[in-house]
Amino acid sequence: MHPLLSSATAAFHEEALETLNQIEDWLLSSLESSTSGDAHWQDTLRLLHSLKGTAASFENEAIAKVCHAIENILTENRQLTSQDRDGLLVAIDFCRQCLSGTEADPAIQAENLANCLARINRLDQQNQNNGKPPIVPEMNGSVWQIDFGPHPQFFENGHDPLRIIKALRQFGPVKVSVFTDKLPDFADFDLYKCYLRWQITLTAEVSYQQIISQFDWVKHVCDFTVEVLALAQTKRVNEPNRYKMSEANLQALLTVSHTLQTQLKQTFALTNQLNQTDKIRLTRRNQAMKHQQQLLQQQLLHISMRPLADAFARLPRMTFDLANKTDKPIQLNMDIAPIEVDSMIVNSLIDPLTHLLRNTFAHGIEPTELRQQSGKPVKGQIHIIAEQVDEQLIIRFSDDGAGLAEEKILAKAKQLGVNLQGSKLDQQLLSDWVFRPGFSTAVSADAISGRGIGLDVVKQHITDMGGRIELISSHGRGCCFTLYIPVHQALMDVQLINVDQQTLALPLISVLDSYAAHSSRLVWHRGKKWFITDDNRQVPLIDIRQFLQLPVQETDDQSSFIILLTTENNVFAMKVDSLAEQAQLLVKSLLPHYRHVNGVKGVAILNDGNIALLLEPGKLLMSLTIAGEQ
Amino acid sequence: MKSSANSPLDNDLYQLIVIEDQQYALPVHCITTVLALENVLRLPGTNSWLSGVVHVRNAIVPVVNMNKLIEVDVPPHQFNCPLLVLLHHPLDSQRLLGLSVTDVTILMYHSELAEMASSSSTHQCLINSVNDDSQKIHLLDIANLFEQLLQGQN
Amino acid sequence: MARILVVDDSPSLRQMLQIILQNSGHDVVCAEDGKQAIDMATEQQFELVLSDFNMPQLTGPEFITMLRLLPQYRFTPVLLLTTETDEDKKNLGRVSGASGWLKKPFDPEQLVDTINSLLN
Repeated sequence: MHPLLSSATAAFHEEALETLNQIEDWLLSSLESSTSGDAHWQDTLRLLHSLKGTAASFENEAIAKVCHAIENILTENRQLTSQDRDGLLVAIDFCRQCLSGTEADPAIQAENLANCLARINRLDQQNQNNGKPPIVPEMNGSVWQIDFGPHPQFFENGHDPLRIIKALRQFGPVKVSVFTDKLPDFADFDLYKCYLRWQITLTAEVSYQQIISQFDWVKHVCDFTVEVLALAQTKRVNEPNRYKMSEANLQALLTVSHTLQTQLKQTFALTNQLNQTDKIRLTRRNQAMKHQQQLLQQQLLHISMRPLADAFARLPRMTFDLANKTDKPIQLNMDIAPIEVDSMIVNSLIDPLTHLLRNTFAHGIEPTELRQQSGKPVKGQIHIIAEQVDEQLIIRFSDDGAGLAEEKILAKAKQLGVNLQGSKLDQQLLSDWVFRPGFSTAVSADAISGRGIGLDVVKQHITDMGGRIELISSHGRGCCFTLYIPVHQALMDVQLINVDQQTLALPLISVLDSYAAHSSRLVWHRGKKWFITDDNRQVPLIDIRQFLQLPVQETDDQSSFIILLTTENNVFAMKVDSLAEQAQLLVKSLLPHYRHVNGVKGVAILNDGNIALLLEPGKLLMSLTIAGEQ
Repeated sequence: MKSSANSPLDNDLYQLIVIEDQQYALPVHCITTVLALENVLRLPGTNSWLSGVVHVRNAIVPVVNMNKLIEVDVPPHQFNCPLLVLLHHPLDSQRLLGLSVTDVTILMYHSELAEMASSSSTHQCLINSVNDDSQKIHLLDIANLFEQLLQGQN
Repeated sequence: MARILVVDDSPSLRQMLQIILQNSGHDVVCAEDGKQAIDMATEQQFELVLSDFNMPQLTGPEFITMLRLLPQYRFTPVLLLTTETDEDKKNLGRVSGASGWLKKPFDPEQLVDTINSLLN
């Protein structure tokens, strides 16, 4: 494939994965609801069709073929059995595997594809042979005579007889004669009508089909006949290209980097001269370099940051599979903050989360009968919440199962020779033991989670990331694992504001609204200024200039703005000079190089490379309120 | 000379720098690079010796004004500090801090510094100070300097 | 060097087409559906329009039919991109007013050649 298309290929991979996820979600949810809504069915069909075409355009034949096969199943069958669904889910997995390129051997890949298709077809009783166009008897010749007579309205819809003749000329040399018998007098001449016809003699080794196809699109607005004057034959071969996804970003980076290097050399050569013209040229070069540097930065960010949700993407599907395998109906609820974090963190979280899920299935959630006995709903509940608080990622993984089996753990601890001082069972102690290597209360190994190898490995993963894991268990009620992972950078949506020519950033989710400041909306109350909101509520107005230790400004309420901010429990207002744009920016914390500063969430890197403080509205309110009351 | 836990070898090199009207000596192995000091972002509510932070080498690095840190007298006329000397922790090269510096001058061996008359250190971030022709040179204690950054109220 | 309007609901395909066409020296504007495309077509004049066949809400043929109603686009070449091999669908495309069609997957060079020939 053309090297220029590498970035588009990356986009295709993202898009394809997204589409596969959507189709999978639909397949999983269509089991739940008995009425498979017609609209969703059509949507899924359309997704499959689009993906088929796009995959083929990006030379991923395997995915195109699989999509085609699935499309056929869905068009033929209005109701899917659970067996059908399983087969289709396997097919989706295969497509994902094609995208990740994990199978390098083309022979094995071809075999996998054949197996996948065969399996899909076993579900569908019909033939799979469509996709090939009907075979037309090919007549080959070497000299052709084509009589071409366009109708008067030929030019409408952008048709051009000259183009058709040129297209025929691609096959080989042509002799063209034009007939002007239909040309009217000049006075009657309509610019937009076609009055000419042509006779074309084409000398080329082509087939009848090939010539006819040139007229395919215009055959309803012209008369044409094709005759063979002489015969012959040839064949053509196309070479497919191999292309590797992982090279794409690297190539882009190298290109930008090299361009930057070249430009730097050019700039250096100019510095020895001092005249005015060169100064201007130098400035231009400098601008170009800055632009390249920004491109480089964007690419680097693209590699290094990933949505947090990606770490959890496989869990719903896993839950579905495990629920089937263990015969335990379970509902997975996830609430993941829409932030992007270091891709290394995302990658490192996938395994521990998988282990935790398996562990919950194996030990946490009880079998249905037991649940019913204790009066619990039949469906087990797993809740996952992931959010960023200060410089930590906090992930809470809780279930409503049986909690830690204390007696079993005690017994196992005794077995391992742990000395129990008294019989007081401490939460802390229990959790500590559970995370020990080799600790498992499972009686036998099973296919799901092995001999409970999960938890000590999970802990290892988390500590490797510099974080920690805690466990709280409530006997008979459930378990909650809390993971604390330090994050030093994240991509965040921010609102930029200006105070005294200084740019500051506010987390966009904290921003409720903004207004031009008007004295009528500001009131004095108990010695402080308050702001009246649209719904006539009085909220505190904080002075950000005080926080920034700027000199007191002579009140000029008319030319400034008020931003309405919200934290968990409070709404308050802040006066700023002006609002700038909203942007998604990389935010780095002051750690690890400096300690945390109150009121500052981190430092946002602006698009031009400068840095701005990212404020923390909650702490601001707290610290400034306290200061004000002194 | 005040003895520190690890006595440096006589062949160790020190880079002399000038901050306003004061001279300092830095062990060369702790210097990452020297850059132009620009776009310092002040952090509100921090000590005056912390000029702020800068964005270099894909990190947010604190910038320290050494003169303010060790509380020397304010010089009579204004000095410019156009340079940023980027230091890394002796034991962890990923940990960085910056010094706002007026000039980077000469290199000296430890042995040359050892020959000079010394006075005891006035600050925990200095190993000690030596006198060279009535010109004082402060020897920086890099590790302690890094510790200073992480202290303070949260 | 022409101004081309690309209409496709797939972002990666839009990107691919944009790269290919811009690399051949054309000005490319993208729309993600038929309605947006009609808006853009009225705001500025395009010398060529490239449209996907299958799109949600407004299909390719429907969009082309609407486009042809605009007097300034009666004679503008419109190329349909499609995976369809079904004769009925092709007829639909032709009848709706497309000047030509290109089957997906397409060869980028072939696309550029087709477009250049449509423009001359």
